[in-house]
Amino acid sequence: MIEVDNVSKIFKIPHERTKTLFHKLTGIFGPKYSFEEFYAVRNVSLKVDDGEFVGIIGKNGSGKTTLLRLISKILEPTNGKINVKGEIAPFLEIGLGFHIDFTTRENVFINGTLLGFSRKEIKKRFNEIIEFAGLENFVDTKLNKLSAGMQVRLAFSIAIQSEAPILIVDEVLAVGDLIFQKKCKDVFWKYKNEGRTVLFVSHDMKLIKEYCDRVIIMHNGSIVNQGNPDDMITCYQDKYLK
Amino acid sequence: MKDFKKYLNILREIALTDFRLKYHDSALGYFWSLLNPIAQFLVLHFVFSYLFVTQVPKFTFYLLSGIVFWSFFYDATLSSMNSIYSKSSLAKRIYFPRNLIIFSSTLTALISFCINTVILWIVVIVFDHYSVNQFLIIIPFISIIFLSIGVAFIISTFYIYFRDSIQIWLVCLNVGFWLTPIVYNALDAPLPLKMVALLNPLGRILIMLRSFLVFNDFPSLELIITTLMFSILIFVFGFWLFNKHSSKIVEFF
Repeated sequence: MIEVDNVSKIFKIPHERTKTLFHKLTGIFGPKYSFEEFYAVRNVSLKVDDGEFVGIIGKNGSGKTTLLRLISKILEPTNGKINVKGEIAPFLEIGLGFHIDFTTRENVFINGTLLGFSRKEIKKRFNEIIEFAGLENFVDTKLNKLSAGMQVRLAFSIAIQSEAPILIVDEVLAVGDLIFQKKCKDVFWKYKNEGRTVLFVSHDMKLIKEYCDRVIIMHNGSIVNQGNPDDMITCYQDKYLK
Repeated sequence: MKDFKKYLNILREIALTDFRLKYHDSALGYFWSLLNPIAQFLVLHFVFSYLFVTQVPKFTFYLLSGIVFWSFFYDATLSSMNSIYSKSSLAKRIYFPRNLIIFSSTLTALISFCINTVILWIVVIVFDHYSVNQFLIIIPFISIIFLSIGVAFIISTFYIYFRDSIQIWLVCLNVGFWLTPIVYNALDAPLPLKMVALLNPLGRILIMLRSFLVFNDFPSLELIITTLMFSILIFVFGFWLFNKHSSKIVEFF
């Protein structure tokens, strides 16, 4: 269960960039340090029940990713409280910690560990990961010899091994060729049928319609509307995409 | 508890990956990393044996032990600062306690430090002497680890806010090398330098180290206790300071 209670996240956007001590010291004699407060997320309250598949839609810069990062504990909220019961697997970006100088096998272990698996667990799932990614012939090839598509497939195959009850997905479903995309879609149906909680950001309205039980529209950092997918997609396209 | 194990796994994996990247996965890579301290040792040894002849007894071992310990302090603090930048992209993508960034980079430096210390000890045993007292180098060894990680935490906190603190720290290291009794004996130094060298926690650690390893005698108990306590204190303070500010890493990088 995810409970977001009146959360805001303010980023300070400086008018002048003072990223060095030198600037700060010389700045004492110069004009005053000033900044603008930018609300990336403003007074958002949200409750996601166990087993719900919730979609978030909104334009670029509407605060979707910031909200996901706040829920994943990567960012700390400026105001408000976030309460998450259960382990979270963030799919905010895949291919975490990949090093092109290491082989596929080594990268599976590095990435898997960062995602929270122990070495033993990875060993157990290793064949499954490689098979899903379709990289049986490239297990001991260095990653820089793999195509970009192959790397993404590998990353995705590791990420979906997660057994966490809560998944936070940021626009990563549409990777690889059509055959791989079909495989990914099946995996997400499996998640849905297993009753896992998924928070899902996408610009692909077809996917939103296909999976989500409930859809939230974000605009300028706030939740402006929520409800069933069909209504929300119509509302979003009519009101906010113009 | 489960989380703790998970984070321990992450720590190990980051440190090992960095270690392997640094040494290109080869034993030769490790020897390359020794090149710089060895060159430093040879140059200083030449200068203080032939140009400005030093009065320090057993100068070779005195200097070698100083350089091994100094190199760890240098590596650990500098690589921690760098790792804030290099690991910030990781921090933006997953949650883990941010202090793991510092722990992993000091752990990477610690791996080579352990190897170097063993080599140093072997060199002393083979070319000089062996005594049971030498096992006590574990005290300066532990002290410098606490001190280095503590200092790494403190300067890395500065680095989160000010990008040029790395240049400033390089200057501090440069000056610090000469304010620490690495090539000279603190007790022989002229007064102001003597004071600095004796109050400098790194200098006190080196005095302990040389007593146990090279001179086969025992420094005062007071020196041992205060130095160890001070190192732990710096560690605790640095840890607290860094944790207080570490959430800013994701926002500022």
